[in-house]
Amino acid sequence: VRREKRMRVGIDVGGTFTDVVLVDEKKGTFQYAKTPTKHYDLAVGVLNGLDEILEISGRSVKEIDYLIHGTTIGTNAIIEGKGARAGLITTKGFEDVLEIRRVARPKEAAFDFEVDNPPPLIPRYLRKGVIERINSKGQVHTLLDENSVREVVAFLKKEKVEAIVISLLFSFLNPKHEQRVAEICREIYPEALVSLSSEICPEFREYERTCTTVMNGYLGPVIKRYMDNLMNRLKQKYGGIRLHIMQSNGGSMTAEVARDHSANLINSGPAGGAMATAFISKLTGHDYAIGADMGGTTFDISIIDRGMPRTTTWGGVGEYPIKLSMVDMKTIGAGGGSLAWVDPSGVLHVGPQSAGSDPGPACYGWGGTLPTVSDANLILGRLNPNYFLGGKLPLFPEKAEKAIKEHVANKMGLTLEEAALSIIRIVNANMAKGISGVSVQRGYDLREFILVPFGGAAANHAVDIAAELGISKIVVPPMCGNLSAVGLVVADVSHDYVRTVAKRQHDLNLKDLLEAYQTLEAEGIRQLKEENVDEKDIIIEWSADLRYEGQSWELNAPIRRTSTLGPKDLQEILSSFHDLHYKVYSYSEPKETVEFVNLRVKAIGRNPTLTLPKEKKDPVPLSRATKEKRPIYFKDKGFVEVPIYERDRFGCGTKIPGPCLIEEMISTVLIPEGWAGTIDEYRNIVITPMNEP
Amino acid sequence: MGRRGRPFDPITLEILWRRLISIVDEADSTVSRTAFSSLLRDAHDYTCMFTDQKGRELAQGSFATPGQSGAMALGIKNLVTKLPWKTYKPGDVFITNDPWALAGHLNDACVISPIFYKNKLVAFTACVFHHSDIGGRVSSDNHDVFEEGLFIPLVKLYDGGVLNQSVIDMIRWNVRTPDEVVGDIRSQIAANHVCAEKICQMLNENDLENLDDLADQIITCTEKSMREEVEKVPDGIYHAEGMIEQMKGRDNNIIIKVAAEVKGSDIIVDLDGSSPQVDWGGNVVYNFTYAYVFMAMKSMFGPDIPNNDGCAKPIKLKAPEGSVVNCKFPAAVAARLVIGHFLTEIIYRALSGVVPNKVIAASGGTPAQMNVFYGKRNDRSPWHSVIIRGGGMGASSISDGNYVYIFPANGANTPIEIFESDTPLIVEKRELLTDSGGPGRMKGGLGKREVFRVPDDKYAPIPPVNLGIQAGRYIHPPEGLFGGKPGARAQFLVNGVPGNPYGLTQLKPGDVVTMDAAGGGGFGNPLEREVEMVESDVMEGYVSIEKAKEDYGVVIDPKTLKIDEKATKKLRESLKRA
Repeated sequence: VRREKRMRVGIDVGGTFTDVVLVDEKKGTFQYAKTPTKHYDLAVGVLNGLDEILEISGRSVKEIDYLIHGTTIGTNAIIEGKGARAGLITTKGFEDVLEIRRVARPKEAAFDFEVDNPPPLIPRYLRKGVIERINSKGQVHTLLDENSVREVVAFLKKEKVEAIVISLLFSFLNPKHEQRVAEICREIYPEALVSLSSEICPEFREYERTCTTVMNGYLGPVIKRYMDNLMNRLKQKYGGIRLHIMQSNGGSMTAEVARDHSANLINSGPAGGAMATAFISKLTGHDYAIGADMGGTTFDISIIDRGMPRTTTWGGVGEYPIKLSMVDMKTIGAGGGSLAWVDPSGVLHVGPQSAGSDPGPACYGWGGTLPTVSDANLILGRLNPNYFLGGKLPLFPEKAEKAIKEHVANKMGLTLEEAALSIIRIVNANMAKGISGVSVQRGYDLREFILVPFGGAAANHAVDIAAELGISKIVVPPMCGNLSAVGLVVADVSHDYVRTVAKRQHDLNLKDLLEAYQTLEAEGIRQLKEENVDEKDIIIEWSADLRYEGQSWELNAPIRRTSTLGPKDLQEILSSFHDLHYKVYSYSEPKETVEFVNLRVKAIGRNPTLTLPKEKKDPVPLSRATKEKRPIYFKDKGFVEVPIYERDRFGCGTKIPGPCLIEEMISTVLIPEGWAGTIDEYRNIVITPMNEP
Repeated sequence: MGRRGRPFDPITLEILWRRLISIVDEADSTVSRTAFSSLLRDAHDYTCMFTDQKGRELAQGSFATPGQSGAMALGIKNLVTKLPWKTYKPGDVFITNDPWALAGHLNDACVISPIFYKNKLVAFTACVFHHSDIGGRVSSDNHDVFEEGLFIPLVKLYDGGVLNQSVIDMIRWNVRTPDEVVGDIRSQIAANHVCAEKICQMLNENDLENLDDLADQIITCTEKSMREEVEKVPDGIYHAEGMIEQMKGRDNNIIIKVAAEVKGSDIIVDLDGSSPQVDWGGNVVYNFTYAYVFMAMKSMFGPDIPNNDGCAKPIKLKAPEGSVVNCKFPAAVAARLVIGHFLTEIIYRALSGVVPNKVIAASGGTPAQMNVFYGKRNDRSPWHSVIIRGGGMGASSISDGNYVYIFPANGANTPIEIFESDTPLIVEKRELLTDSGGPGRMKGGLGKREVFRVPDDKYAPIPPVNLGIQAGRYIHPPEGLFGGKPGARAQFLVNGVPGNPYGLTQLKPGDVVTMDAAGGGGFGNPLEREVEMVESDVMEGYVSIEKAKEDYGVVIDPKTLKIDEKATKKLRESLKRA
């Protein structure tokens, strides 16, 4: 990205707080700010955050040449059902594709008939068919009847939809009909935002493609309004400043581009967390890491594989599939506010329900009476009632005690502390299982991984989770509570392109294949240049979704970028697919025919790599960092008196043996017996088993 | 017992228990991603599970097909306890599709692997796949199982790790799509392999010798939860009778009689008095009957309890031998779902008087509708595809029936963009059917229409295009409960004229087939449905203006689509009096 001043600002809007980070690239320094999120007008919170960081750092806005923003506005609009009023145009006879879905009852519902999928994002009366048909070879079977299109568009105009989504059968093979329908929409009803499935998600499987495109239409007007508002305010207050937005694929794009690609903004916030995990793991010299973001209600897991977050094209929000390249995040219902409950047969569960921020955990004293993970931590001495959020929020141990006694201890015949410990063990096991599900089950060996905990609650649980998973190194970054914002500023600009080919290896025309890659690539380069990226900063990556003929799920195999594509290159591609299949499913079939399903190109505009200054060794005696001693409850040991440290007082190179608790403004780090922490040259606390260096 | 000879504490128990379930879920996802036939990879017609060394089911995939899972729980236990344990060796893999031993028809082939840890037998892992072809004559009107395809008794596919190629060859030469069937069997072996590896890993990491003590505790704990719920039902014997239409040309219905006796925490279901077995493929083996009786009980008394041997303990089933619900070899069984799926709704009806809040009205997806299409393309290459269709679910006391699901079985549809790539056919419609949901205070789920055309242009296949159907609800619609009305019947039309929806239909280029799936039954009096809900149904096109008036007594202005409150009040009053 073309930039001279080398000053970046990242703004992450979360549910409660807006986190801001300013990076001076030349000096390698980070500065942070935190302001309350303004739910009545999110743009106000963003501007306040910017004001605050400028004030703290003493910089002027003119010195900032890269401003990036992460938002959960897309995810929230879907979950709360607050997207735009949109209409859907399909091939006649298939208007109900969104409601028929894949017919499958939700996974948990095999025996539970009351569980249903969420309602379609576009109601039935706004879903209309047009007469046309493309066949499975991409040829026109029935010509587009333009009168039927005009009728439908006129109806949608009368119904005042804000967005029109067009998803016709086999449009990924031949987009002509979709394009013509779009032209008619723009002619009759230019005010509506038009999304084409052949542009947003040109892949086979009509339900998944339609649903993805509907996301774009459903969110489009909401995101466009938000972006316009934000950009206007920025312009009024600070003159022109180019704004970047974080995408769900872990890259950024300019706000102007984002307005038309709103489906790419789902999970924009959590993607920042994954990028930050990648940054920390690179910084500390690790190729593989697990990002573990534990907040009040959810636990977001990301996998860093060879320095980059793992991505998927089979993600989604809730039960809605989204077939776009996105950072592979696994979210489970485990956080400080997760509720502990005992079922009728006496089994203890924690989550997925949460006390949220209203009424919140019992110990907050906001009216909650049910026991949560935070209550259990408080009872076990693992949270300081007088230093939560730096003392801004006093906690009430007696309320936690009452909740746990009444709802867990008495029902299970356990003491208060045993019950609290059980809550922690269960929630830790849930989180460990979540991590294992997306790592071990995909063939990763966790012994090669580090764990990077962040978000308010993770560092308290991290060592226990790591121990359960066989991970022997935990890196607790210093900007633990603002880490997602850090992820924003380290991300590159990035765009993904896809084209379905659906051909067997023998039917493949290598010249066409090469041409397809080059076309996608050219589009990527054009886009990046439009976003002010220098030629020298552009990186292009090719890959293909491959499968054995007859299978219906693909694996994405990287492909070496080349200017000529011969039979030898094809062999190389095929053998890398067989290897990948073996790695993922523990068998391969080198004699079987391989099918090329989708070609993918990723276009990246690199931001300069951030280098941080290393701190000099300055180990301090532990006594200087000790605030007090406090009893903490451990398994098989009961209460043990341990030292409580203040994180800021440690210097680089300090060794901190467990058991102990390290407190900081927005987070608490627990180091149990048998483990020890070391402050590294970037102020990370690196925790390893005691007997290892 | 746990590591120190004590029972596992409840927390450790739950942690290990969840681990077992995630192991089988992993095996499950291996299948959907590697299998070859669309019935498996897209429609998910398979079930993975594993048992302890005594054959007691411990865990099954979360996305299970109830017919297979219930039948397997019973069948695997019977199979693996038949042979003395010492005959199993590491590396053995068995295969069978014996309908009486497992899931009730030849297409469901099961691969079973004993799992050894430290040279001791610790578990069995098994998966049943519905193979889209198993040879034979693909139709519901065969007279015995010999006509229905290849019968594989329990044989070794691998003996101590060595492949028995003869078995594979024998299968290859007896099916229409050998690459697909053998490829899918390989995927079954892979699923078992994944399961076995992970179980051993789990034993190793937790310092356990075997699964026995863990199994005891899991099963006991599960049984207790089920019994607590059953105990709440007042003791008594509860009756219901189901009437199921037969193949065209046979005017007598099949009758299934249920007497469900609740005694403390036990339920004994007796099907005495049910029709004798029939001379076509609708016969149900004991295991499959049991599976759908179990499905009803599990959904009523423990829908969210993980499924294992303990869930089944409180439930006993008696089915007279030689009846349609416990048929004797060599009865034809290919279309067993046509009758078997009904068991669930008949049990619901029997118990609806005592537990009205735990049941739903009859469903249009009962039975699931299987359609087998096959033939030759114009270049003479063979093609073959199976689709499963669902219908509207029955309504419950608190909610409308869900749309177009396969219930009580489960599964998914095949995307049109995949179906048309696999076949020479064109799908012209796949849409919800207005007014097909049974009227009620809670409305039955909507059924669905699918229209297929055999092209007569340059892509026209070589005739005939064969269409085998296993379905139902063409005569008797899904009934409502407590005053709810029935859902719409199913329909099968060839070129606009009713066809024979039970046997094999042969089509030629230019033919158009319409298949309507039935809607679900309603729950409660439709005149008590909230008028706003009816208004919204009309707005969405789920219910027409005419039916809103006729069935619900709600008058909607066709111009504004708003309720005419005065007229509605008057109409509802007069209808209630009538």
